Amino acid sequence: MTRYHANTGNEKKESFNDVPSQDEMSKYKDFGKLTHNYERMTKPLYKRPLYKYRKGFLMILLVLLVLWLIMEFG
Amino acid sequence: MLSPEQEAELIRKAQKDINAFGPLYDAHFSTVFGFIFKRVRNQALTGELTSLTFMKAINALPKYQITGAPFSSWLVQIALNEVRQYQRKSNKHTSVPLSHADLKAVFEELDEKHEQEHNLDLLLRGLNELDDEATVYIELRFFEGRSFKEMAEILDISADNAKVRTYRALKQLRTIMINFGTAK
Repeated sequence: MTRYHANTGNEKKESFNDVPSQDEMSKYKDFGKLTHNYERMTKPLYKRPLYKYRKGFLMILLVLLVLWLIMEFG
Repeated sequence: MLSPEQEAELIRKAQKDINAFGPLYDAHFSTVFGFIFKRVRNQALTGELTSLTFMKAINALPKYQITGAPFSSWLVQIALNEVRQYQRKSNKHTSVPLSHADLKAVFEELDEKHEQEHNLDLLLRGLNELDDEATVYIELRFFEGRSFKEMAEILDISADNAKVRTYRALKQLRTIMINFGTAK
């Protein structure tokens, strides 16, 4: 939501088109950080889904089964 | 400053390799940052929205078609969507300063005398009551002084449509001002 106000007093006259200086803007300019964030956002954490790691997947299933047995009959 | 040919070549390269986007980022960073800053008035927030804009641009770049329209218009279009999305989500008011020069362009189009303080007050109240879409047209046309062609490129509509919608926004503004004026 935008709320406009007019600068009619004697204070520093600001206008809609006032923007920070190039120096101030350059503090936020970082292409390396941008590409890093982009890759982190778009690339999956694991390249292969978990169920394709046969051993790991079976181990998790086994642990869950043991936990379920303990909860049911323990 | 990149020539249209250089820019087209860089876009083609960046469509295949994200690292080739660097010179395009350097060339258009201040345009995008400035566009967003005018609307949110906070440097840190502008920095975040600028990063989001460029990340979305990189993501959509493989589908971008070189049509001859300035690449910066496409980036500004994404930036505008980011600003609108932020404003909808945050539901906060952004206080935007307007100088007499900013208001003069609107006054001239409305055929009003801007010297009168009463009219200035009415115009400000009218601008603050406009819906979001009308605000976009008034800002692009009268505060930033863009042509209908530029507006069309940013908003992805025809120049005629940009003109029609701008005058519809002005009509809405005039109606609000008349209502405030008669209620006073």
